[in-house]
Amino acid sequence: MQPQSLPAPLPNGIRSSPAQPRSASLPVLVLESAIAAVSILLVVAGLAVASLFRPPVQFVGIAAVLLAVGSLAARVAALGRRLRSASARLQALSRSPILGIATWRGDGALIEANDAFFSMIGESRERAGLINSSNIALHTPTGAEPNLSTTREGFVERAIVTPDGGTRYLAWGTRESGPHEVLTFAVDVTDRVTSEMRLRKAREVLEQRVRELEQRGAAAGDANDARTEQSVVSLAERLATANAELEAFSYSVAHDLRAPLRTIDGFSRELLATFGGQLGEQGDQYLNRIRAGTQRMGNLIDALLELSRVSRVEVRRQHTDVSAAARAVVEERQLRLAPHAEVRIADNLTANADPRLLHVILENLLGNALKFSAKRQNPLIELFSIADGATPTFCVRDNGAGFDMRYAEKLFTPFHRMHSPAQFQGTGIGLALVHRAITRHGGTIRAESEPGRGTSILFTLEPAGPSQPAETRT
Amino acid sequence: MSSNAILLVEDEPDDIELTRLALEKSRIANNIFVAQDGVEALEMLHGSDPEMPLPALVLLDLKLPRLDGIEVLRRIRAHERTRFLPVVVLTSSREERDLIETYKLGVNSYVVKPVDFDQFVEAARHIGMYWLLLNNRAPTGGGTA
Repeated sequence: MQPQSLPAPLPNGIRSSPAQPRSASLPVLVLESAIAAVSILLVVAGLAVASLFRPPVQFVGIAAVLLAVGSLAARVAALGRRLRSASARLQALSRSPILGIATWRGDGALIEANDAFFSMIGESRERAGLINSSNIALHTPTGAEPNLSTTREGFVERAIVTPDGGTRYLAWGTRESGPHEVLTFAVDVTDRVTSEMRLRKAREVLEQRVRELEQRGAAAGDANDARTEQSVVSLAERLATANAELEAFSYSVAHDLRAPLRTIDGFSRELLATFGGQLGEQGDQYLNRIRAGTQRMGNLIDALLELSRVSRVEVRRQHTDVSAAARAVVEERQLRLAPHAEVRIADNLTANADPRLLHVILENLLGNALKFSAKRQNPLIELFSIADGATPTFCVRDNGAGFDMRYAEKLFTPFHRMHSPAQFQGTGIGLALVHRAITRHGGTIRAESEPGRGTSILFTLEPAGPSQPAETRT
Repeated sequence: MSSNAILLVEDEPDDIELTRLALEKSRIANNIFVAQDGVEALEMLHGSDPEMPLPALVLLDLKLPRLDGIEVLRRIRAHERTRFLPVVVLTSSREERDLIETYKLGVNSYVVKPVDFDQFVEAARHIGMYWLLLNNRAPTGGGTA
């Protein structure tokens, strides 16, 4: 808090006080009276001079004098009006309750001020003689820092302490108004400054609250992390339990569900072999249907077990030759599915993938491609990759039966088929298996197909995005 | 039990009957003995009579009451008399952990019973043919040397 005095009065200059509102009308009256007196004197003098001449000249002289005096009087009257109106404006200004006007001597003593100024500084006119600019402590209060910088040209905001101890904020403008005399204008900006200060304070409080909340949030986040960690542990335990149960379940399914199927098939077969002739052709057919049914059931159970296995096995990535794996699959399946198909496997396809899961993927996708294009005259099955950034997209394409994409929504869900068994045999598990094997790798799969034109299955074997670090190779 | 007999360790009557049928069709197995659980199987193999001949082959199911197939296999291999006895697991399903476990214990072969009876007959024929006719057995007990 450093008291500041008003700007020091300027040293030199002609003494003049254009802004002395209270006495502004007096010189105008004096001037007007003087001009009136001079006019009368001139008229008398003119008439006296005119009387020295003979009548014609005398009349002309009188008229000239009167004319001169008249025009002078008119000009004097106009000047008087202008002076009166300027004085009125000054008076109006000085009566303004908003603008405080004061003149100060070079030593800081108050010469004169309007009511607004006295009220601004909390003083009365009676004490005017005691007021000195150095007594009005102009300081910046501690704590808040209002905007007390220069606001407009020549105006400075200052805090003052009033005699009752209050603080007010005034915007000061200072002009040199004469030798050792300074004219000041002041506007009370206390309301604005205090609301700015309140605003600033509120903002600081708000910022503090935000910081506290953030800290609390972070602390809560830590607590959450701890909870999450705990729940992850328990989740992992539950998952392990569920997996163990699932494994026991599928083990049981594998053994216990297949056994009765073997019984049905085996004894149907024996019935056919031993009593075939006695059942008639239809009887034989029924027994064959029973056997086909058990076969389908057996295949479904196998497929479901495979699906469960693919979901459970640990994904062990390694550098895998996709081209070679695909060729092995084709070699194994083509003869049975579509011996006449042309198969084009691109060379040098590799992936960082689990070879067993990759085998499931290729077995089903290439098997499908062969199966669904077998009825065409010139089946063409292709496997290639589309180099698309860091992770390659593989594509298995055929020119086979295709399907309507409108019904493809459930393409990858188990048991969902796009064709009737009469058209194409299948369990409806194949693409579900593929989908699961691919999602286990963090990859994606999608299909593009058109009935009669063929199908493309596009898939990746790694999560999208920048270089996925390879898992431990085993 | 005669020396060219087959010991079938199986608890399911239907499976016993079907396996018997399949082996008969292959016209190889003359004598089929059946143990309906693991305990019974071990009694027949490690019984009190040391002079009783061992079968040529054990067809072992894995899911068995009392003592399961894996434990039976372990004890067959642990026993001096039967450690080289040909054991073929004949089971309903191909479970990876069963495969690993039985091969670790020294099983001679692992065969999944196909649902299709024709295939099963074919499998039985192969098994019988190989283990009873083609294969040369180790001397009983593998010798004491």
